[in-house]
Order: sequence, then C-alpha cells, then structure tokens
Amino acid sequence: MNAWVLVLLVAQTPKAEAERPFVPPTLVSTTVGVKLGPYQADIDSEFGSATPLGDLFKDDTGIYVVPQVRLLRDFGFFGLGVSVSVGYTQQSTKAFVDDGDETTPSSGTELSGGETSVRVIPVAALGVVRFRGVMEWIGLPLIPYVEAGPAYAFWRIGKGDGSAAASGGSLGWTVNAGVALRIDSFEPFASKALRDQFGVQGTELTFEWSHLSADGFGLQDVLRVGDSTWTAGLAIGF
Amino acid sequence: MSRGPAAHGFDATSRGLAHLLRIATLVRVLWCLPILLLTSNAWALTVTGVELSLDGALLTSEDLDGLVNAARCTCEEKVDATYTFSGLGSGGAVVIMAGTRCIDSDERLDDSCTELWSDRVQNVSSFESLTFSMKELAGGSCSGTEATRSLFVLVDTNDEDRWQVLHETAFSIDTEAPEAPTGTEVVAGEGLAEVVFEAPDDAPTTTQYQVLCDASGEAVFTSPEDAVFDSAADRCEESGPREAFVCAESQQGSASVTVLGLENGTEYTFYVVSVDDAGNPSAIETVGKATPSPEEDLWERYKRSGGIADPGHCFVATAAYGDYDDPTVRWFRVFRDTRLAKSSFGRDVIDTYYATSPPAARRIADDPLFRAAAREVLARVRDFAVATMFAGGAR
Repeated sequence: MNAWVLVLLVAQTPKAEAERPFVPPTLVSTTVGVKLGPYQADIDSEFGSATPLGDLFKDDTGIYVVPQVRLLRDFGFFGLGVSVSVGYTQQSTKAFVDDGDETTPSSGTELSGGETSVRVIPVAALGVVRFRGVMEWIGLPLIPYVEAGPAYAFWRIGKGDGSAAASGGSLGWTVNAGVALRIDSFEPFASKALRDQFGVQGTELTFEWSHLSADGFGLQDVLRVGDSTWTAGLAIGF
Repeated sequence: MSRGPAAHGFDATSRGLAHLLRIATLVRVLWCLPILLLTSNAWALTVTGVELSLDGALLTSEDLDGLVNAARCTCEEKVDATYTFSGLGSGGAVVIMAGTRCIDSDERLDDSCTELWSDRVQNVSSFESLTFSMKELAGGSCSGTEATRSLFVLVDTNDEDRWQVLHETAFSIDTEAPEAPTGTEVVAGEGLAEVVFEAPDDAPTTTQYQVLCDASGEAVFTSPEDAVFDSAADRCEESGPREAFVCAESQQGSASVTVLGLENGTEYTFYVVSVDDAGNPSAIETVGKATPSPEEDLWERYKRSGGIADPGHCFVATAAYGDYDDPTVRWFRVFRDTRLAKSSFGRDVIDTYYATSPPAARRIADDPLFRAAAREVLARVRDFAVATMFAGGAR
C-alpha cells in the first residue's frame, strides 16, 4: 500500500511543481534596471536669496536616467545586497546677455543666442535592504526597499559654444526609498517563458523617492548638484 | 573474295556525283555571300561603349542624374564624351542628339532635339572623343527646367532620312531653383549667433539649408563648413555669395542653427539659402544682422551671486612639481590647449580630469613619496604623448 502511495506522489510531482510559485534556485540574485525621473541640481541651496540656477532654468527640469546593477542575498523576510548606479542628467537654456558688471548678476531681461547647460553624473555605491516578506504578508506583489550609500557627482557647466565654463565633482551621499511591483504575477505564462528562455527570474516596476546630497558632506567650496526627486523604473532579475 | 567489274563501276559513279554536289554547294555559298553580308546586322554600325567625364573625373550613372543644375548656369562647362563604335565602314549617316525623344513617328529627326555631332558612317572612328557644353545637354537654356533627357546616337543607314536609335544615355536635368527658406531671426551670443529660419512648406526632405554670413561684405571663414552650396558665383566667377560665405548648415527643415567662431563686437550679416538634391540653390534670403557680445552663463551667474565652489582647476601636475610654472606643468597646459581641447573626446578627457583630479592632487601635494611617483608617471605620459605626436606627424 505504501509503495502505491509513493508511486502516486512521484507521478504527481511535475504537475505539482508547475502549479507552485517559482522559487529562485539560488538565494543570491542579480538585477539590472533603469530608472527615470525629473532632476534639477540643487545649486541654489547654497544661497539665501540668490537663485542663479532658478533665474536661468526657472522650474524646468532635465531627465534623470539611472542605470543600476544590484546583487542581493535573500534571507527570507528580507534581503540584503549591494548596488552600483550611474545617473545622468543634463539641461540647457538660453544664457543672459552680460551687462558688463562682473560683481553682480546681470539683469536677466535679455537672453543671449547661446545656451548654457548643466550636466550631472552621480555615481553611487549603495547598500540595499528589500522586504520581500511584505509581499506575502499583505498578499500583493509589492516589495518595499531602501537603498543608501556614498555618491560622487561629476558636474559640468557648459557655455554657448559647447565648451566647459567649469567642471568638477562633488562628494556626498544618496538614499532611495521605494516599492517594487512584481509584474511576473500578472502574466505567469509570459514570465515562465522568459525564465525558461532567457533566465529572467523576475521583472518588476519600481517607484521610488530618491535623494542625492552632493555637497562634500557640508563643505563650503563644493557645488551642490544633488536633488530630491521621484523616479520610476524597470528592473529585471537573473 | 574480290569484287567484280560491275561493282567498281558503281563506286566511280557515286564519287563523281558526290564531287558535283560539293561544287554545287560551294557555288551557292559564294553566290549568296555578298547578299548575306549586305543584309546581315553583323556588319552594321553599333555603339559598344560610352564614357562621360567632367573635369577629368569619370561620371557614373548616378552622377548623370542631376548633371545639369542651376549652379552651372553659365552653361559653358564642358562634358567630355568618348563613344566606342564597331561595325565601321558601311554607308549612311550618324548623328548624336540631346533631347527627350529625337525621332518622330515617321522615323524623321525631331526638331526639338539639339544636334551635338554628326558624320558619315564611313568616317566614324572606333573611338570618337567629343565635347558637349552643359547648355547643349540642357537644350539651350540652363534655368527653370526639370526633366529627363537622353543623349541619342542615331543612324540613317541608307540615306533615306529614316533614322534608328543606336544608343541612348539617359540623364536628368534639374535647373529649377528650390523655394527659399524664410529667415525668422538672428540672435547674437558670445562669439556666436543663433540663426532661426523656416523651411518652405512641402519642401522635399532631401533639401539642405545653408547659413551664409559676411562681415562688411567679406567672407568670415577661410575654411567654411562642408558646403553643398554649389554656387554659380564659385563656378562662374561671378560676384555674390559663394561657398566661402557658408557659416553653418542644417539638413533639417525649420531649424535653429548656431554659427560658432565669430568675434565679439563685430557686426555680421546672415542669410539662408536652400539647396536641392541636384545642387540648385534658391534665392538668398537675408535674415538680419547681429553683433556677438559676452554672455552670462550659469557659472558666471553663480559666481556673481556669491558662489564659492572650486571648479577643480587644481592640477595633479602642479601638485607633483610644486610650481604652476614648472616647465613640465607648462608642457601639459600647452598639450591640453593645443591637442586635447581640439577634439570632442579630448574635451571630455579634460572635463573628467578636472572633475576627478582635486582629491588626488591634494593627496599628492601632501606626501613626498606620492609627489615623486606622480612626477615619474607624468614624465612617462609626456614622453608617450610626444612619441605619439611625432609618429602622427611622420605619417
């Protein structure tokens, strides 16, 4: 009798596996993704009332693109990992005609034919905490996460002829807090096909608040090119 | 066993008949040969090759399209043509004509075509080198025409004024000027000017737009941008805007084009012209005048607002040698300005260097060991750069 039960169990195993939620074969996963969001360097925070960047760019923002690679180890309810991201943003606008007084900003009423630009490339090394257990706890495919770490933001301010008026780098730190929406669960067949054919273990949309403080940890002579912004992105795990 | 006399007699008769048949066949062939030669096409005049060249450069079939455009409006430019003939020596007349259809329904020559060359067939050489003017190819006028034409080689074999086409070389002629763009405005910047214009409605996507500029009627640049503005002024040594006046170009339609390399304080006049894919320029549209002047970019406004950030001009070389005017430091400055800054990649290298060098420079300046190591590395970098530049010059 026991032998018959054993045979029955063995025969049912493939079907049972197909119906079970996928469990990654390894506890360590690699994820690549890209995030997008608006960005305006926080240069004006150095001043009390002066707003050199705001005078030129008003409320315009550049598009912030952040490719990111993450290595994560799963500990059940939560996962710990490290991540590296390299962001890029640039925005341009018309410069002001110089009124000849080098001690004070120009009136700003007349625009020049040339454009001035600001480019920021923040590079960050992040520690990552992801709360995967929340997904099972609330019964929704949402995973909250927090990332934080040191950052170095390369910056460049351009003149109308394309040359650099100034360029440099600002050390600082960054923190991201967000939630990842696992979209595998919406299309289980498609996700299985991706897994079988391309080794994609999971796909998720991310929505996060991101803060970059690039001010040399409070140094006076560092250009503040950080910002607080919202990003949305797509990440693929392998 | 031997054959009898009767058998021998039969053989002799057969051989005689065979000889007679052979002779009869030979006579027939010899009799018909002149008729065959006279009626066969194997000996008729044919064109086996045509080569056209302009200023010594061979024209391909693609070049032939748009061979005649308004930029060659003096119509005096010459195209060399070499025709290769075979089947020489027969009778009749041969003629080369340019037009769209040079034989009418009665096989007579059409008056609308331009006769370029003619001769008796027996006088034609294996290689005939001829020269045609643009005006002849265009049919007598080099303006306002857009059509497909051909160079025809026609023959009248029996002098009966009944012509046949021996060879046809098709080419397109476009001497119709495109519509001019509309200059909207010109705004001066620091050493530059932004020229805004609008393309004509329904302008073909192949049309290109050139911004011309001058300062007091003189060309601004000695080496202008690569120009498609194939102006009549250049080709025909006429007065007026020419290629040297090209300051910038755009392959888009309505656009804003920035002209760089201007001098602050000098007044410039700006024009726009559209050029179609055949090289025809439109009428030249004056956009306006502008005088470049200093501008206040973000960095200048930041500094004038009281910003104190250090842009990072602290060189590793200065830190290593301890003196901004050290010969090696000066060499690196010259290398930066005369070599690196000349290319986009080099400018990116400079930007990256400025962005990353301050921490390293501080570390080097503080430590004698690091200073010595940095001097060694910089010396090798300089030697490598010198060797590379020498190799580049030797080539």
